[in-house]
Order: sequence, then C-alpha cells, then structure tokens
Amino acid sequence: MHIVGRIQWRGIFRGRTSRQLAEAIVSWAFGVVLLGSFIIALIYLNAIWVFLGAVALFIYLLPPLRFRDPFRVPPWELALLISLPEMLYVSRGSRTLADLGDVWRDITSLTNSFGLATLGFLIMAEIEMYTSLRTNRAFSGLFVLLFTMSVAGFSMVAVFISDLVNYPDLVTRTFSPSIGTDYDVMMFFLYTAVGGALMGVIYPLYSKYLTSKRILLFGRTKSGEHREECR
Amino acid sequence: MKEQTMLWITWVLQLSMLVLALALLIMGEYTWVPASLVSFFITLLPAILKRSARVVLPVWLVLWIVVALFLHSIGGAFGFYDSLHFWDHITHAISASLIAALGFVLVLTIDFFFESIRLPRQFVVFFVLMFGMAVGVFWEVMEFTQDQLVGTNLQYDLDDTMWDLFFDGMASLVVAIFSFFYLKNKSGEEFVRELGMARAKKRINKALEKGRVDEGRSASRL
Repeated sequence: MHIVGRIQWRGIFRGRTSRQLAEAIVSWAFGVVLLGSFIIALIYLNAIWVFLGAVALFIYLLPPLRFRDPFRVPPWELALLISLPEMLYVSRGSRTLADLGDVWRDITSLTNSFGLATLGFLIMAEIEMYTSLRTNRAFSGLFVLLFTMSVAGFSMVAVFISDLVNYPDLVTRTFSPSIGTDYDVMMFFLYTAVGGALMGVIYPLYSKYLTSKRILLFGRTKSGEHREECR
Repeated sequence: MKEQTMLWITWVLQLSMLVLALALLIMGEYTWVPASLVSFFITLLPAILKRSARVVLPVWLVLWIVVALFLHSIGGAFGFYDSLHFWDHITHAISASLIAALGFVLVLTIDFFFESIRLPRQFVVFFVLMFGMAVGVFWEVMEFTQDQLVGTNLQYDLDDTMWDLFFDGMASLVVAIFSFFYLKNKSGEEFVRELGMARAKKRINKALEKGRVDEGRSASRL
C-alpha cells in the first residue's frame, strides 16, 4: 500500500494522510478490544489477567500519551498481537468455543505465557521507534526474551503477594489461589521462556520489515533516521 | 569506603573461606568442602582476569563477589540455611544484586564495543532491572528442571520460590537505582575504559592471531 493523498481536515487531523488515518483507526480498534478485555478481567477479578492487561494497556498508551498525539500509536499488527492473548482469555467464557473441547482449552492456557512474550515484542518496537536507542538484531532479540522472563517473574510475585493479602488463610506454603502450586508456576515460566525465545527470534525479522517509510506514519524520531544505517 | 579498606576486607574474607574449607576437611564435615573450595577459587577469578587479560574489575565489584560467596559458604557450613529462616533470602538478594551489577557491566561493554548499538542511560538502568530478575527466573527454572530430571530437592515449595523471586526483584531494583545515579556522575564509556576491556580485547585478538599462525605452521609441516 502506498501513501494516498492528504485529508483536508483541521485540528489533530491536519496534514495527515488517509493511510495514517486508516493505520491509526485499526490500531485504536485493537486498543479498545484490549481495554474491553482488561475490564472483563477486572470484573472477574482474575489477578494475572488484570496485571497483564494493565501492563499491556500502559505500554500501548505510552506513545500517544507521551507525545500527546493520537496518531503515534503502535502499528496495528502489534496492537493485534498484544490484544490477541486477552481476546483468547475472554473467549474462555464463550460456550460455543468451549464446546470445541480440549484443543481450545489448551490453546487458551498457553495464552498467559505468549501474552507476556508479546509485551516484550511491543516494548522493544516502541523503544526503537520512539527513543534515541539504536540496536542490532541479536541484542533486540535478547532483550525481548529478558523482558518477557522478567515481567513473568514480577507478575507472579505481584499476584502471590496479592493472594497473601486477600486470602491469608488460604495461602499455604504449597498453594496460592491465583497461581496454584510451585509446579504450575514453573510450567508457566517454562512456557513463557519458549514464547519469549520465539518472539526473540521473530522480533529481528519484524524489525527488518518495519521500514523507515512505515515508521514515518507513526511519528518518526531521531533514532528512526539511523535505523537504515544500522542494518 | 576507601578502596584500600575494601581490598583488605576482600582479602580477609578470601582467607576466611580457605580456612573454613580446611577446618571442615579436618573435622570430617565433607558436605560443604567442595562448595567452599569452588567459591574460594571463583573469588580468585578477578585476579586471574587482571593478570591474563588485563581486565580490571572495580574493587567494589570484587568485594561484592567475595561477600556473596562468603555468605553462601558459611551459610552452608554452619547450617544457617536450615536454622535461620531469612539466610536463604539474604544470600538470594546479594547474589541477585551481584548478577544485576554484572548485567550493568555487560550492557555497558556491549554499548561500548558495538558500533550498531547506542543505549541511552535510562535504557541501561531498565536493562539492569530486567536482567537481574530474568536471571533469577531462569535460575528457578533451572532448579525445577534439575529436581524433575535428577530427583534433587533444590526447590522447597511455592512460598520459598516466590520469596526468592521477590528478593531477586528488589535487589535488581536497588542496583538499577544505583546504576542510575552512578551514570549521572560517570559516563558508561569512561567506566568501560577503566575496566580495561579494550586492552583485554587486544590481548585476546593477539592470542587468537598467534593460535592461527601456529595452526598454519603445523599444517604446513604436515
């Protein structure tokens, strides 16, 4: 797709192309999905998904809030990527999908881990797009993995402490209501490591695909100008 | 604290570790002898690095390494891990802070040597926090895997694992805050120059070059 003419609107739309508008609308649509899923997790008081949703929303909204520009949203494919795990989590409540049986249950149980990995992916893309940071493919891939594992650790600790506060009688040395047993937590970390490693491999490929021309649509920064030189 | 004082403390702790290992050996308490000896030899690594590769680790970092290993050794030898509930958390926090500090050295070195990488100070601080916690999580996964495959009992229970991770996170956060203030007064470039990494790189390249030449000579002889 190439840039189609400029729209003659005022205010925040002034000087934007129809391509920019389309990209931003699709991205915001997934942002709304993310918000909706977060609200559902909040209603059901699912601690892990509330935590994941809050971090995802924070990372998603960081660029538009920081630059006070609704067009500086993460690219729509990234918004889709981070809202996908939340959508899958919400879909657990759907009877039609639950009728699909074990396969659907297995897919949705993997989403926690991949949800975290997608956050690592998004934050690296945002850092590269909106800060003066320059990096190469190997380092960015490594950072995606480290970020994923680190957030997994912090999230489990946060949920465990929240359980200690909320259910002081229920939490024993071997079980916590929201995260289960030590075995459950370790399996979660293992899946997260696999998801993080996968995203760490995919990220450099995506970074290559995200050309300077496309970054321009989301508000190019100084570092964007160096991106091509780094490759 | 003055550098000389830190050096003295480092030597005293190193000597204590050696004495501890010998005492355990004489008393016939063999369980913690290998761990104490290995810990002692690890504390010698900074000196070996300095001698062979001309990498000069800062005195505070060397002291940090020695303190972490010393606490681990005496904890095992005197049974503090079993008798003092908080001992495991203290050693975990100190080890995690050490890992985060090594992450700091690593990320600044990468930033210094790779042309294609330029990392702002805030990112370095963020990296230190992420690195410390991520290594903590990998460590727990490694313990779990070993328990499952070999049948060891490295992980006690959920409570213990989660508190270990909590202290890993807190220690990494403290080191990240320190790195922020450290980099306010000193540039990352200056830090890496003082480490002598450039000298080490030259020496390693020279050694590799020599190896290649020797290989070439032996191949031509054949």
